[in-house]
Amino acid sequence: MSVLVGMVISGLMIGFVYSIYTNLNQMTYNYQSVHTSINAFNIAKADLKREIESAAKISPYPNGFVLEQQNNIIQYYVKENQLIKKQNAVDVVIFENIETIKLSHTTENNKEVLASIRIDFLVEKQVIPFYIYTIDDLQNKLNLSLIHE
Amino acid sequence: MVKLKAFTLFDSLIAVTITAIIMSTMSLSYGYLIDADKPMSSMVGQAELPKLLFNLKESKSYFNESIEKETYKIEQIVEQYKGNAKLFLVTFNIIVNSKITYTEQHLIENEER
Repeated sequence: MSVLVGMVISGLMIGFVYSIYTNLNQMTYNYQSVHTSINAFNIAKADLKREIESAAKISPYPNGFVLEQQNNIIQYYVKENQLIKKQNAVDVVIFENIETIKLSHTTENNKEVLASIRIDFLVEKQVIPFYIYTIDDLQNKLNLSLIHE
Repeated sequence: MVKLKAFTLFDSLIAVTITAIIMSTMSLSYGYLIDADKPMSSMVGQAELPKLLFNLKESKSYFNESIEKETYKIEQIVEQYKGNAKLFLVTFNIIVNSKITYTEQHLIENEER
C-alpha cells in the first residue's frame, strides 16, 4: 500500500515538474521569437530614419515616398505587405522578417514635399507605427533658443 | 518479494530539499519570463511618442496629460526646464501594469512666448 501511495505521489510530482518544464520551454521559445521580431523592427526603424534624415528632399509617391539624395533617388513603397526599396531601377524587398501593412504620409502646403510619414509594421500580430516628421527641426530651434537666451 | 526499507528522516529531508530547489528555480524562471513578456505593449507605446510630441508642439498645449490605451498608459509631464520660461522639459512615461516600463524626455521650445 505504502509503495502504491509513494508511486502515485512520485508520478504526480514528475507530471507537475514535466508540465512546468514544457510550459517554460514554450515560453522561452515565444520570448525568443518576440525578441527577434522586435530586433527586426528596431533595425528597420533605424535604417529608415537614417535614410530619411540624409535625404535632401522627400516627395510623395503612390503608396510610398521618394528620397532625393545628392546623386541618388530612392523610392520606397508598400506592395503585398512588404516594403520595397527601388534604387537604380532595381526593386528589393527590405525587412522581410516583418510585414509592412500601410504607408501613409502628409504633405506640406505645396504638396510636393512630405511633412510626415507613418509606416505601420506588423510585429508579432501587433501593429506598431513608425512616425517620421521631416519638418521637425527640433535641434535647430533648441539651439537658437539657447543661443538667444 | 523485495521489501523496501522505510525512509529515514535524513532521506526525506534530502528529497524535500531537492524538490524545493527544482520548484523554486522553475517558478523563478517562470516569473522572470512572465515579467519580461511586456515589451510589446511598451513598444507600441514608445512608437506613439513621436506623434504625441509633434502634436504637443503643434497644439502648443503644454499640459500634463494621461493617455489610457488598452494595454498601456502614457503619462505626459510638462515642466519648465531649470526655471527657463523659454524651454519645457517634457517627460513621457509608459506604464504597463502599473509599472513604468519606459521613460523618454525632450526639451521643447515654449512657442507661446
